[in-house]
Amino acid sequence: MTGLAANAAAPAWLSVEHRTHYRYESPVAVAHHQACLRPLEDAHQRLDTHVLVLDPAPQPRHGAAPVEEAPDVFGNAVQRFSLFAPHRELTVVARSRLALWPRCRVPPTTPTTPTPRGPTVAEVAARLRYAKGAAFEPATAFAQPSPFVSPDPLLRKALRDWAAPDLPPDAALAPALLRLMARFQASFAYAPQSTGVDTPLAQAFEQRRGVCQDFAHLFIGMLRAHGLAARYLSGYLLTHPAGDGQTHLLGADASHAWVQVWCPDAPDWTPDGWLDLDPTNNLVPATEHVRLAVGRDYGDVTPLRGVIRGGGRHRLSVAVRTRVDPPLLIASPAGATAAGPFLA
Amino acid sequence: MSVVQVAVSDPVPGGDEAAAAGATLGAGWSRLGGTEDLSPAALQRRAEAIRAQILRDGISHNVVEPDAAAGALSGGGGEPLAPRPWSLEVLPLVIEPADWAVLEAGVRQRAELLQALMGDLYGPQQALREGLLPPALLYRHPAYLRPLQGLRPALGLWLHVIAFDLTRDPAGRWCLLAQRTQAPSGLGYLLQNRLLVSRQFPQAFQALRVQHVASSYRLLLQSLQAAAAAVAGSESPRLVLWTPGPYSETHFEQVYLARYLGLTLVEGGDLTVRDERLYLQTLHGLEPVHGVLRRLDEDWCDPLELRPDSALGVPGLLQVLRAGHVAMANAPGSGVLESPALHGFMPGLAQRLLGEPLALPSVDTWWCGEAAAAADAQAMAEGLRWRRTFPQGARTSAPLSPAEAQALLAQDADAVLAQRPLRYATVPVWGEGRVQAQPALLRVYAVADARGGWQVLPGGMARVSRDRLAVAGEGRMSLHRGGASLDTWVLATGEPDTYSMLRRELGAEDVRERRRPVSSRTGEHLFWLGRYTERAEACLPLLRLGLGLGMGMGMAAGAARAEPALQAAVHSLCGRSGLIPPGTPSPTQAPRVFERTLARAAFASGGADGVTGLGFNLAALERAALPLRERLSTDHWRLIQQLRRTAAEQQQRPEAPEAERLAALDSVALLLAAVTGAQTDRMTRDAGWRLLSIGRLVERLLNGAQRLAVFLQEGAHHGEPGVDALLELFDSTLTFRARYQRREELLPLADVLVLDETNPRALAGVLRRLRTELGKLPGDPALRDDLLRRLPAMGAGVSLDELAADLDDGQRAQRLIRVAESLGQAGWQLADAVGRLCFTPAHEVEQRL
Repeated sequence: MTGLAANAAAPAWLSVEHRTHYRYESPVAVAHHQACLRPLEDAHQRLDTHVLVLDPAPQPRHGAAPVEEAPDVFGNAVQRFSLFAPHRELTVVARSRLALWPRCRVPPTTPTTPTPRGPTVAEVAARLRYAKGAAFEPATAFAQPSPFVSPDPLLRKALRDWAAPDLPPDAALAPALLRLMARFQASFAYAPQSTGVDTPLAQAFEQRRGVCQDFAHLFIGMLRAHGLAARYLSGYLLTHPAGDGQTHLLGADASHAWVQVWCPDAPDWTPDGWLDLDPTNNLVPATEHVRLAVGRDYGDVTPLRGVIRGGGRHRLSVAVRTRVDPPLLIASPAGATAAGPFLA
Repeated sequence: MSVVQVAVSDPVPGGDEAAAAGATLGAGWSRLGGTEDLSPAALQRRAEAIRAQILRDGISHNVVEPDAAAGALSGGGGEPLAPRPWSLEVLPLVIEPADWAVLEAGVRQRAELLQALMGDLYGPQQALREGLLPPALLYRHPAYLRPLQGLRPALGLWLHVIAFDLTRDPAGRWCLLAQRTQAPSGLGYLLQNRLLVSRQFPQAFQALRVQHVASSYRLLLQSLQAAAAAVAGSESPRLVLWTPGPYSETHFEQVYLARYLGLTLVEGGDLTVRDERLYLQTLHGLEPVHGVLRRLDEDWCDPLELRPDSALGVPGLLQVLRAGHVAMANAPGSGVLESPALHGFMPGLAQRLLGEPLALPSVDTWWCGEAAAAADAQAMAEGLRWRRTFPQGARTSAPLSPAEAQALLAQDADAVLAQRPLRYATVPVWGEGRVQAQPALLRVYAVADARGGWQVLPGGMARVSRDRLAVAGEGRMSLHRGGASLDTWVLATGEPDTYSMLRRELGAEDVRERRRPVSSRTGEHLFWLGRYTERAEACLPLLRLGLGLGMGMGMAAGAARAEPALQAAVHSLCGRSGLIPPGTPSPTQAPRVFERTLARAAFASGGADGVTGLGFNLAALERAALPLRERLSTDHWRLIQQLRRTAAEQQQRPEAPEAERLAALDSVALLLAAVTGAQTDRMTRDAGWRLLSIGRLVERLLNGAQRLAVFLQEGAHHGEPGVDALLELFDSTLTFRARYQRREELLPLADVLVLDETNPRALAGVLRRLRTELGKLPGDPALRDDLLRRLPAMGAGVSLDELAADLDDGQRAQRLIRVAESLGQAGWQLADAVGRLCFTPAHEVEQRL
């Protein structure tokens, strides 16, 4: 029972506040929104509290809930609300407090730990290919191209070729992934504002620069082009207080994105077959990454979307604060219980 | 009747090869000859009669370029190409009972299988778990809508109607080429074909015992009704037919089908979601909707969860579906079943899901994502045709050249499939004075009943290709490419079922149902139709006046030259009405320049230089009328198009002489009078018609008030030419002359143009009718009162006594100017308020965050 083992250790406690604000040029008459702002819950990430604060508040009729919440096909909690009163601003604040345990039990790069061999790149890819009567792997759902990770043959070939040196068919998958991630981070420049949500992936690849969202998509694209299954994680990264001596991770103070790769039969590395990799920071996430939602790409886990009538032009501002937030009754200094990130 | 042997010449061109592949879809057409005259002359006469009837009835389909279609669908303003007349062959395709029985059994089993597969893919996914279907064919298909995974549609009906495209293989066996599961088209055209062709061969139609098709439409309606009743929890659910709008390729048949089935025709903008329920926005408030016959492609349905750029969808709709509050035929997400890559897996799926072997074979297909199949296909690559596995844009499965296929196979084999080419079977077609064999494709429809069974509509639509070498899978069988359709007669062994939806007697419930509330969007279009009609009409006297100023031709004639005040008033009004671009000199300064500018701008369709004159208003009138076609008579619609053509002709000739311009204005005036007549006397006087009238009246109030104020301000009403001009602008010359002959004082003028409630053009007359129509609007009485409060309670807000008493003409003019200005303001406020009251939020722009 991996989960039980994980829970036996002291968790890291984090609090996250994710604030989204829209200001509209003219009143919005009707608004329908869909949010993906409630963090995932499982054996390695427990949700202590979660509140979603809306201003203006929805006024549902017939005693319906102001916010309807239901899981989507990937297991994310999707929150939906509608506003029928005219409004010129909308504020959505999601506050969560979480207890985190590392999903990766044995740090894959600790020199003293013998690296588990695990299946090879070719073996994993073969399990994801269809053959009559072959066993079905649910991970196949994440081996396909998706809207943000296009099947364009030119891009697919470019991504495949770029990743090929680190993914020879007979290499053990997990260590190969770490080598690929290291080369990836060394080759791609993190450049805030260099791309937007709609920047084509090919462009981010061409210019070898982008933000965490692009890096997650590119990394996913490389793995899928090799017949592997990879998925997109949206979430948050702990903001280290200035001058605490720790490395300031890229992508903090905003929504972060990283990936999970299907890496079966490596129980020391991953409890459920999905190995977490943060290509932006070249590390295996431990307890400084809060997993918000998982999907094929950004489109499946957009934190907040909506369709409005009226409103004219709008201004959007987003702010994310993440901090260490241990229980008050336990006198432990901030960060003491949190395992540090494993820098590859 | 004489039976004339008509030789079927050269069954398929191409010699021996063609003869080898010479299967025909139906052989029985010559059986018509038993009772009908099939001589070349008779066939030709019938063909011409059909063509003439199609033109008379305006049976058409829109030809839309792929790019333009995307623009038009997203509301991006793509202009459709002109509608093309429907193309129908005179000879029906005749299918013998035994032959049909085989087809029917095979199609029914296919329909059952697709229903079961759909439920499995969006449910337990056994087909994937057991390796019967490659996961990529589901997970990678853009029509797999993840938000609907786990959906439980009412009565288990994911699919209500499926279309199957078939031909015969060289051995004469029926063979399936494709299936259309998401929003199949053709059921409306099929009805039209039946009406047109059976009328040409009445005896044969009787004698051959052709099966009637109406029962299948009744079943479609009943099943949707049953599903909708289940979600509504009531026996009288509301059903609608959801159209993508007038730019859709098959909009004509959507309108026709909606009428035939008795469904309200709606666009996305008519619908709204509140608290996980779907509503129709009407002038009477929100009306719940429980069942939707959908003709909009699934990815456009909900901009919140699906295509964000869809202006045609209804935000929140998928949540209504998940909550089980609407039944939809067919459920969104059914497009995954259209993938041709499925063909190879259907035999195994039939065994697993139905426990029986697949009866109807489909065209040989190899999906290259399976290594073994790819190897097989590569081995016989020469003889195969390559296609894409997944849709791209509007194309379900685009063909690939061998080189493209090889390149793609190396990178992404999942995206490639191969098919064995299959020559289409032929049908006999009348043309060029003889009967010839043409390659054709037969589309048949399966309709679900409410208990899990299926009925195959006994008939279909055959489509012939003008391309005699057409091969299945190459996408050449398309009406866009000059093909035509055939009615399909399925012969019965016993007595045919003669149920007719057209002849059924209606009960009280039907009659009530047919008096449907008017949707807000329709109301809005009608309001603007009224406004643009009035604006266009109002342009005419002003244009005539302006064009007459300098050349001694108009009714104000030469004397007008001497009246700078009148010239100033006309100049000012032309500017305010947008008949001339800003900065045009007045006729006093430069008569020729003014006149040339006015003549040139009269028919401009507007925009560029700020001209919003007659041409602009006629174009706007047509745009407002287009979505209202189902409410307008054929004549009404023809008049509107004739107006547009006249304007377009004049627009082509910007330098046409004034005389020609004036003649064109005369014909526009006549056409507009006819349009007005059609609007006043020939439309149902429901709430929509009230809005049309209110639109006209508001516009008339605004124009009248403005014209009066400007004339009085400029002092143009002094003297006979000015009085003449003002009376012309109010279309009140006859009334005035009959009452006051040639008087020119202000008081009688005020009587006829302002105070007289019996003059429909006087401000008081306009206001009286406006109050009446506003009072009859449906909805909240308080809101209605709010509208009425913006107008004077009685008359025009000034009485004869007030004007007559103790005022000199100058003071009187000032008083009237104030009255006119305040009525103008009231008019603008009223127009805004009507918009807000009846249409919001429908007319506000929707955007995605």
